[in-house]
Amino acid sequence: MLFNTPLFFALLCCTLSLYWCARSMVSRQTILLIASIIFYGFWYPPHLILLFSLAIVAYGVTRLIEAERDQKSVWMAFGVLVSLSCLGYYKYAAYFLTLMQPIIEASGKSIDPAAYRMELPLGISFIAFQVIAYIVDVSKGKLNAERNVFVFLLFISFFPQLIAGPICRGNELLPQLKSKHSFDSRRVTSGMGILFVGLFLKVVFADNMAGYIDSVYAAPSAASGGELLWSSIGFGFQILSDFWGYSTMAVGMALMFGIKIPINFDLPYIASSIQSFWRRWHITLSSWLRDYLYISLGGNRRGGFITYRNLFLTMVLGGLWHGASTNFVIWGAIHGGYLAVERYVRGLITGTAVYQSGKLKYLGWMWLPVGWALTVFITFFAWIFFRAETLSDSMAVISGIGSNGFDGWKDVPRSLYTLIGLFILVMIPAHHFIEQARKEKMSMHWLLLTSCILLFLSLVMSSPDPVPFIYFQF
Amino acid sequence: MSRLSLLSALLLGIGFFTCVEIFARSSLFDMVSYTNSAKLDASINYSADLRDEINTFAIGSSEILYGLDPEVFDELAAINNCPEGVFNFGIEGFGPTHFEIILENVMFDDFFSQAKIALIGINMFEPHDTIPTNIQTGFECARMAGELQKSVYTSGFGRDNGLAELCPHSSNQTIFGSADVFLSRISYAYRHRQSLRSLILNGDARVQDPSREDVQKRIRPNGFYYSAGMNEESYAFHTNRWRTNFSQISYWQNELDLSLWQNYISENGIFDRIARQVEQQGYLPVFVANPSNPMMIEDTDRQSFYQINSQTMTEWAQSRGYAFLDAGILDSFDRQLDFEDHRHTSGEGAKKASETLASQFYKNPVVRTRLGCGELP
Repeated sequence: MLFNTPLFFALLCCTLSLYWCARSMVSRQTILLIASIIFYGFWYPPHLILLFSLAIVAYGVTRLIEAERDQKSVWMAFGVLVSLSCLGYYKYAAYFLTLMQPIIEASGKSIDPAAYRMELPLGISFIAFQVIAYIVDVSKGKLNAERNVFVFLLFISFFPQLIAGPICRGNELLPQLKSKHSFDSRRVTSGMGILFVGLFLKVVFADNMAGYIDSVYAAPSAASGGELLWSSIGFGFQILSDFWGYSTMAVGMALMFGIKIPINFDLPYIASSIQSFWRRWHITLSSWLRDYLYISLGGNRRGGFITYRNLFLTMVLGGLWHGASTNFVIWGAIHGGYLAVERYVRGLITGTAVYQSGKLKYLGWMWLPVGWALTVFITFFAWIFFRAETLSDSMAVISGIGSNGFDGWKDVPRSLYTLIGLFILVMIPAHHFIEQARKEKMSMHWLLLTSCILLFLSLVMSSPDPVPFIYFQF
Repeated sequence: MSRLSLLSALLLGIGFFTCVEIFARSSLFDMVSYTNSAKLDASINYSADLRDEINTFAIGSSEILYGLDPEVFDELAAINNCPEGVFNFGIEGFGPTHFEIILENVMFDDFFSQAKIALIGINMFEPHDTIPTNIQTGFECARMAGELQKSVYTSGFGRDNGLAELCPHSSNQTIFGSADVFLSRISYAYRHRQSLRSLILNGDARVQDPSREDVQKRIRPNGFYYSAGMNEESYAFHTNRWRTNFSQISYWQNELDLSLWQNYISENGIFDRIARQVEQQGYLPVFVANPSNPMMIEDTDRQSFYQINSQTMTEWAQSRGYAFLDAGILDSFDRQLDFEDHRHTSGEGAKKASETLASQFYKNPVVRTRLGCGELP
């Protein structure tokens, strides 16, 4: 049940109606939980068992952490291990077996990694991270363990953010799920406006770019340098519009229930440094990686080399989180490497006339456009590995662009250029609209008008068959 | 302020949707194809200019589009003391199987207010797929429509005439299908949203698609597609490809059952149904043997099949009070000079075929009565 399908909108409308008609908090929580079960179960009902099993384990573990404080590390480790094991089993077993295959076969045994490839439960990566964050936060005393098991199940399965985030922390979402919000028409309308902005981004830009880019990346050796170049640039915008669109829809939907969840994107392509990029791209993931991985590895507390190592490792594992593939590892390594280099350079210029007290000074301002160009270049270059199916495909794309990236640009459909140009134009106004709507600063009339126009444009521009969200595969 | 804000928002909203609607109705199909076929676009545009002047229109596939020259018909009309006014409404890829669907859904008096006769082109040596009697539920777009037909069915023309529903997308097959139907009825822009999308993404097709200009030059104002004449290189390419491929395709190798044609003309057979559709729309059905290149008939050894079918059609048409025309392509046509490729006539070949067909047409008593012709000279 994709977000951009009539069936999902039917579920949303029914849930909203019942939710706001319900008087008690318990009724509302029950309605949301049932809607979430229907939503997740629609994909593959048996995976509901996995979802709730993981949730029950987390619930039990956190209750034990609070009950047996002297054993909290053990219980925390157990809970994290269970979550990671689920993730590892479904997502990485076949990949690691492929890597180990030469060694295993050298010992005289044979193994078929393909036999271990599982049907990936939807959203398992996001669910696992949300569960881990909750367990660790309870263990560190940042929040109290939730006592109501149904509320906790709802926290884990809340359908707007279940499949592909934003990854919500316990202290962000749980209090809101337990408080009874009164119906506020402006808030609901704001949520609707944000929802339609997300839909607009997804169906107008991401879906319409997908067809051509997919066809080029399916056979990169057959494409010209220009086609490869513009498909790669296009993919950078496709993935942003796709994921930003999805996350925005999730934010809008949650707001329609009176619940505020964090945004995931803050104009990442205007970032003038890779550090800034990661504060603007998939914000909830990057903050999760920072809080639960980077800091756990030691963060920046143990000197230069260890800091660079931690940055690099965090991003490599972040890449691996996206998928069990060497390509994702390389993608993460590129970002990790650039983060480390950037940090090193920042260390060199800190305290000089270029950079003081965390701010650019004097000639440092000239660095901004250079920094922006470099960040964009590295990011779009790394996307090649993210998008290509295999390492050899990635190399084919790179060598194709490298040999003559200006050849064959006329073969690229005009629609791709149109979409890229239009997206660049609407990026900032869309972001501004989302910000204003979240703050509930817009009048209902303008919200309704914008929603109608965006819905109409989405209907006009939607491709005949729905295209799945890219991040659903993670 | 709140009321002013509400009024402004309302006015802007109404203004926006009104502008889009007006633009769609007045200019959209000047910039994008109405039918997804440059040739059919031209035919429809030209037919609008001749709406009240046409008494006879021809329907059929590309063999009719390339092969039936209304100008020749009009010359023969004058000679035979009959009113002039013939239009070629052939559509590439639309043989009897698909023209049956067109006739079910498209009222030709929208195009020709004074028409009396429909010339129906039929291929005389290939089998015709039959569509279940209830086209709406029985039509399998995926199986029965190729790319040529699908693109027309799902075009703006298809949407305006209920043809797009025959090739539905998944989005129309939910409970929201009824909302889609309702919105399509009340809003022209919504109904043609795919064309709007095409315009936004691809720009003005008049600029983007140079082949449209070429088509505009070749399509005559009477709908006839004039083939510029035999191009040796092109002819060789197409005929070599035909000769290489046909022997490997079972469709061409299968021996056809001679009773096939009897099924087509029997009650509820495809020709019977087409004839009744045409009569229901108020026209006299006149069947026409497509002027196909005899090369195909001879290579597949279907000469007898052709001859027997032609005789069958003649007798059947007479018994039903219709007419059947056959230009006798097996007899006096040059396989190279009179044809553009392995199938279609060249401009010269079309002239020759049209002379024979028109002569038969205007001498036929049933036709003469329907057209109100004067005394035969």
